[in-house]
Amino acid sequence: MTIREALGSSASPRWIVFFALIPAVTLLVILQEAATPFPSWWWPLLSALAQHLVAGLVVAIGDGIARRRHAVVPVITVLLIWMLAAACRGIVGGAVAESVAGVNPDYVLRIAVWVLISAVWLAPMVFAVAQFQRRRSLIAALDSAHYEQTQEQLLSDVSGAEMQRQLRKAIAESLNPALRQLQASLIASRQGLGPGAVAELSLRISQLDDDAADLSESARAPLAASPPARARLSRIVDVAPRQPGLSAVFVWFATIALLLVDTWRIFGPLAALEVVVSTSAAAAVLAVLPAAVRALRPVTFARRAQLVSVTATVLAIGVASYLMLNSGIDPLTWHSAYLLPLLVTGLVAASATYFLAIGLADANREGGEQLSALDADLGHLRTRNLDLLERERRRMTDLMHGPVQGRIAACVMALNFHVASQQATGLHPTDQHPFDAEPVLKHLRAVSRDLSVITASVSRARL
Amino acid sequence: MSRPEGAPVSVLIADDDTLVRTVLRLALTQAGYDVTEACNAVEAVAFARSQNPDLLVLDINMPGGLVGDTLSAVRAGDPDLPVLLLSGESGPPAELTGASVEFARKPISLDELLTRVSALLRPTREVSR
Repeated sequence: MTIREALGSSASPRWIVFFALIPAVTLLVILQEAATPFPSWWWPLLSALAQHLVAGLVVAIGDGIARRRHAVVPVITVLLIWMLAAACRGIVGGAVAESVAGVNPDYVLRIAVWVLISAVWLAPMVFAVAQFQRRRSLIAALDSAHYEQTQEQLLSDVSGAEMQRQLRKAIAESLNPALRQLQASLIASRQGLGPGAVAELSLRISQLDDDAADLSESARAPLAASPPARARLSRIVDVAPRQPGLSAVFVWFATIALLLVDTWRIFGPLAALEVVVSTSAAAAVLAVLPAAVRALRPVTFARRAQLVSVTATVLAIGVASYLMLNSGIDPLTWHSAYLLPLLVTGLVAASATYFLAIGLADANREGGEQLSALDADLGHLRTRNLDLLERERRRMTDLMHGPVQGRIAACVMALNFHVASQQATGLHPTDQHPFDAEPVLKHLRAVSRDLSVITASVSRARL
Repeated sequence: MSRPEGAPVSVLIADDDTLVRTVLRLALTQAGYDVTEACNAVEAVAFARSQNPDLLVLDINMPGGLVGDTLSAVRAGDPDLPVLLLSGESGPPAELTGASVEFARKPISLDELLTRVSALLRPTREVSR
């Protein structure tokens, strides 16, 4: 999956991200409006909601226009739409603050903050969710391919034997008894076989002929186990943390972009410095812990990738929280009541985003290669199985069509021709020539012998 | 080779099954045809060349040679010889279709046999019976 497909295709998960961002955006607006003298506590929440709705409207309209010209919208167009939506957030936020609280709207600063945050957060989030969805469909495709591979292997192992078994069973249970019955009828009445009896015998032998023809087509492949189930969330995200150092840098940058400007504007430089120090310490933990586990305990790292990632994130949050509350850089600790929820949310969201974006992208690349190899293998296996089954089917068809059906057809013709020629003479049935059953009986005995040979032959044969 | 005026139309039956040959011979003889039998491909080619039949009734699955080769060998002597192919299969091999060639599945009925034979025979060789 390319970046353009992830961000601009019709399957792009930008709307999932839009709705998922509501809590984080609300926290951010609460921080932004911490110093705004709104007449009631819920005005920041209302402002956040209005900003989000307007931004969503801008994205919907921009996306609709862009999609008229492009099936997959170019990355630059997607980014421009997002930046326009970010600017609208700033304008709406400033307008609400000015009209309700009577403060300076600070449009430029608000727009700059939202543009920065959107630039840093939206693209990786949408890309990460797209990789997540791709991973889910890839796992399903891999499971399906493995399932089909197992089925094909089962098929090649038992279907030839199954066809032979069914053929033997049908000969033993259906054809042989019918043949014996026909022979008995012919022997019992060979002296006085009238046209009616001959016609009936002909009909029964025709049925025998149809049964013999159906035998080689009747074998069915055995069914394998049930198809794979939908992949669970834990399995989708079970990927090793790739490039933890790079991920940590991204997490640091994203969290700083989220908090720094407004923290500086509202709480001053010391609070901003405290945010930088805490975020840096958290990023260091995110970089060092996975790298240390990978270096010291590679087996554990490979087997417990998720645990390592979660532990690193929890530890990073713990370190950042401790420093925010106890570092003493900003003596006014009540600032942390505003900053800490957003810092924790930022760290969690950034860790998850970059972990998924980098880890899943790599895993998907490998999964795609695995799937191609599996598909190729499956294609070979299918071709081989089709060849084997077709060969076996042909062998059985040849066995049945050759001696057995030929002789049965001869018997049917003999009986039918006798009836037809006698009817053509116009004589009364009692004056007509009796049917000479001896050649037909001889043929039916030969059919019995042929069936014995076929049964013995398929018993010995192996695919 | 021309056939004497008033002589019966000759049919060569080539089939390895004795019962089929007997049944076909009886039916065609009763219908007024002059019948010769061949029990394998080699005989079929030899009789076709020596007796110049008006029609060949040929079993597709016969020992002594592939039906395509047999047909080619027969047609080398008489390219216009009409042929009725008989087989237990549902259809003839693709390479055997063409002018003056018809296919019938075994078991064929007496009516169908006589109709097919009559239709295949060339008007110049058809005789009043």
